[in-house]
Amino acid sequence: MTSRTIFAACASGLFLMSAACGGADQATPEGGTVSASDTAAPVSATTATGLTAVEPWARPADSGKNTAVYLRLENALPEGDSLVGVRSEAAERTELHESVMEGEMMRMRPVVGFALPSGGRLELRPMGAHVMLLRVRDPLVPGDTVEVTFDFASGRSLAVRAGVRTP
Amino acid sequence: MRPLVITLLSLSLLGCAERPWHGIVRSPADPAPALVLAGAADLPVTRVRIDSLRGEVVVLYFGYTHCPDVCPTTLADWARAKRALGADTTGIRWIFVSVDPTRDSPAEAHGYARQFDPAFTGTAPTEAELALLLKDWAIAAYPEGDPRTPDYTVAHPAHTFVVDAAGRFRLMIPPGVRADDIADDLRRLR
Repeated sequence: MTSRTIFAACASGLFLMSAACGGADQATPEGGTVSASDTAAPVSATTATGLTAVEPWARPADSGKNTAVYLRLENALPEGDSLVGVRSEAAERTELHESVMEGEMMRMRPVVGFALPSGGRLELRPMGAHVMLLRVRDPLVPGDTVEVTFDFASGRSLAVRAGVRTP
Repeated sequence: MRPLVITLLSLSLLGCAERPWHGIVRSPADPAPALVLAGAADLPVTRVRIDSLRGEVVVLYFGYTHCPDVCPTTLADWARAKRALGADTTGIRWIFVSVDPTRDSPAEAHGYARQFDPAFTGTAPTEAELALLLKDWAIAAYPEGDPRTPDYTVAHPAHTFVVDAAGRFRLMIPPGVRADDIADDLRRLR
């Protein structure tokens, strides 16, 4: 199929470009994945099939309450992807949410997915996009860890262990 | 005419010299509406009127304990602001007010607030009290999703409200203002 051939050609071109860019990025002090000196907070990064989770963390919560998980996702692959789902055994339900300020009101809404472009990053952080853990099963206290699996449109998934801490 | 011009000029110069606030200054700063709240355990009376707290700066947030992101971020910022104020934090009362009467009891709201700092007070008005409170403060809060299910969210005011020691509703601090800057504003009001 012609269009597929063109897509493949473009994709390999992009791959070369992003590989070059990636190399350049890592040469800079700020580039690459997270280093322990970036922050005093607990840091972990999991890489699977070109996806990296940087500085995942979760807020403490009482049993039955809701809480949020935050992190930065990086996509080193030539293809863009989308985060389309989250799973966790730590809560009754796990959803992607976004806090939005509208006028003087603060609202929260579920989100179907977030784009994660090739060579790009997706920030889940306080007052913005986040993983929402609904009705946490066991209390989450600082020092605990929470496992969250991120599912992508490409079929890839990324299991992340987030440390519980107060910001 | 000339004295008036000079007066205006010097006033505007004074205005320029004043450090800017980090929060949004309400002008005129009207007397704060009553805040009649039940069950705030560490307050001297079980039903608190804000005018009974005259002499203290009152820092208020209207949220809910099932709020996973914005409320805990705000209360954590308060806790940092309180630490930035140093050892002497007298004269400032920090009150988290739940706007989710279906799920939050006063005790739950209080326990929630105290997780961020033991000096914080949390309280939860009843549905009837909440209706009055929203009207008096001219603010809105409402459930989104089905409030008969456990997982509805609540739309609520985004700002931290600050009442000065004279009982005037003086400042609205938007979400995202740094803790040091919150402390800076409160220091000036105390």
